[in-house]
Amino acid sequence: MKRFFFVLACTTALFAHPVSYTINLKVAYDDARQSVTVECESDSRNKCGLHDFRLVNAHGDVLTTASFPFMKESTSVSCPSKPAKMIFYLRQIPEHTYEIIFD
Amino acid sequence: MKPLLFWIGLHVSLWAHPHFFIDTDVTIEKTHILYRWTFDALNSKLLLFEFDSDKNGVLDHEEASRFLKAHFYPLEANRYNIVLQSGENELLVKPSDVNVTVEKKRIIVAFVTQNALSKPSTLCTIDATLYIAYALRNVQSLYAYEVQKSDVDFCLGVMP
Repeated sequence: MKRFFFVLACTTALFAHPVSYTINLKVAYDDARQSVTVECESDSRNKCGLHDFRLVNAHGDVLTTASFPFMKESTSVSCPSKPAKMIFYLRQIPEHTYEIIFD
Repeated sequence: MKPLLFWIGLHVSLWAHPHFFIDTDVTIEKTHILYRWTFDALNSKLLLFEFDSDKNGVLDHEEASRFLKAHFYPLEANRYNIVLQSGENELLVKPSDVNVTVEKKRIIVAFVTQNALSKPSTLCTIDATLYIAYALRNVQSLYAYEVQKSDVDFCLGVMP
């Protein structure tokens, strides 16, 4: 019986996987202020604060990198030129990314 | 047969996420922060079955050590699911005085981090992978604070 429980426990462990959660992002560039505003909404809102983001130009060069703050719905960072896209990534798991193209 | 069905039911329930539900008490003092994590009744029962070898309802030193090694210290890889930002800086979270007790059949892990908050700070208990859901039960703080909760995590904004 113990062996059965052991196998069952191992099987359970193999099936374990993290749950996804929603992240909705909006980006806007203000030409006058030369800044980017990033808004983050999530069904687990504190998750937004676990992410950093990179602003990247059309050539793939990183213009700036910043952390999204905890307990805030949005953040602004100065950026001398309009980025082509934002890469929003989970700090602990940098492979976990969202990419947003600037209009 | 009943134990078999119980175990199958228990394991099937673990496929649902998160796996663990932890009620959290936080005490913010001048020189340190005290955390008290109370595991949910179901997982406490399961974990006691696994780690309470002599089935006396408590975890003695050796049993507690095995429990912490399996279920607490591995969290170091994710900074114990605690994010502490003071001003612009993220502070190192290093638990000390880690203690495991059993109260009303629920496993409680209590520990201290030596963090003194001198600037407006954000203290979050949050598991990025959602394996563990943290519910904030009680806060005692020397300083004013605000709370932002979700179903599975919470953040405190602390104003020293």
